[in-house]
Amino acid sequence: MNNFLDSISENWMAHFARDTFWAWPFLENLHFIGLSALVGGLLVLDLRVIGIGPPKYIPMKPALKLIPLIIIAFSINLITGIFFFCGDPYRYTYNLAFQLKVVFMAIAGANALWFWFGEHAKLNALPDGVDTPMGAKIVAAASLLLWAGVIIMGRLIPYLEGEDLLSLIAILAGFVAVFGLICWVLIRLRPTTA
Amino acid sequence: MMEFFQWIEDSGLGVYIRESNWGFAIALSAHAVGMGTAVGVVMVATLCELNVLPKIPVASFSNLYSVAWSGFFINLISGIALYTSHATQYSYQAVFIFKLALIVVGGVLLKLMIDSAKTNGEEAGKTKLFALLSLLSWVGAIVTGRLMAYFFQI
Repeated sequence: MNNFLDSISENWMAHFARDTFWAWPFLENLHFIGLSALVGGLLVLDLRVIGIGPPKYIPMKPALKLIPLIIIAFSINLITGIFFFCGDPYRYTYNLAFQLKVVFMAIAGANALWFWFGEHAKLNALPDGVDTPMGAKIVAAASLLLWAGVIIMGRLIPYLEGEDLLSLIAILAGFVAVFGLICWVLIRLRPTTA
Repeated sequence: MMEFFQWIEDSGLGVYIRESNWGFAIALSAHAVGMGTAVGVVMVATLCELNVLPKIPVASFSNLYSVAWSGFFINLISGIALYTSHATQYSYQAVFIFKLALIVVGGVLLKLMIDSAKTNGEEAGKTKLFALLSLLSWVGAIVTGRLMAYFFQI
């Protein structure tokens, strides 16, 4: 494991990220812009699938056409993320927040595959104005929750250098509080007239 | 003026966010989620208007703008909390002042884009110009916000 980390910490990506003085902030900016594009695409698509905002449903077909944007935004963040990881591999590998971030991303990836292979064709065939099946709503809600988790864990990387259970509980409490607030706001904003 | 910023920094909220174990980290996490929510929806709306993304009528975004607003308010609250913790430092950082200005400009331009789509139509050059400038302002707000961790002296 350590041989592997040593070798990647000396590759060209690591040297670029560490040794070029503007590289790290430049990559961080790309990572944040990619984050916003990713969340934007996911929000519009997932909230459409969940059914927030009737009666003014966004048509499903253009919403599904946001998937390339989501994939491009994720690719930007995967590539910039690999630069960060190579630049400081020991820090990230043994960081609790980073480990949780990777776990959330893996589950979100599996969830995305389920959406693509299990729900996409059904949703694409859905006539305008018709409500989506419950299974698709659950996949969409899980996607939003998991990506919120990925963002929160990513942002907590500098604050969780040591691993302990109390920290984990504190983060999860913060996570639930923030997401609860968002859900509460969204439910309050949901129009009641059909 | 400095006394006023110092008073903010010494307030209960400022001390809590700065000195508690999780205050700053949790406010920062909420700020990142709110950023994705607010700027993300604006990015999709403006890129649709610019025909970069498949066309979604601007009018059917009306409910999504309320989602963007919820992100904006999460960031207003978490942003105020973060500001109080280092008020004397942030108040004199040029990138922070630029960030605030870009948020105001980006918001006004978005409103102009929505109004122009109603009066001039979605294909009007004016509507597209407002969309492009609004998108650039919001991306600029992200960049200047991120650079606050790097530019302290100017």
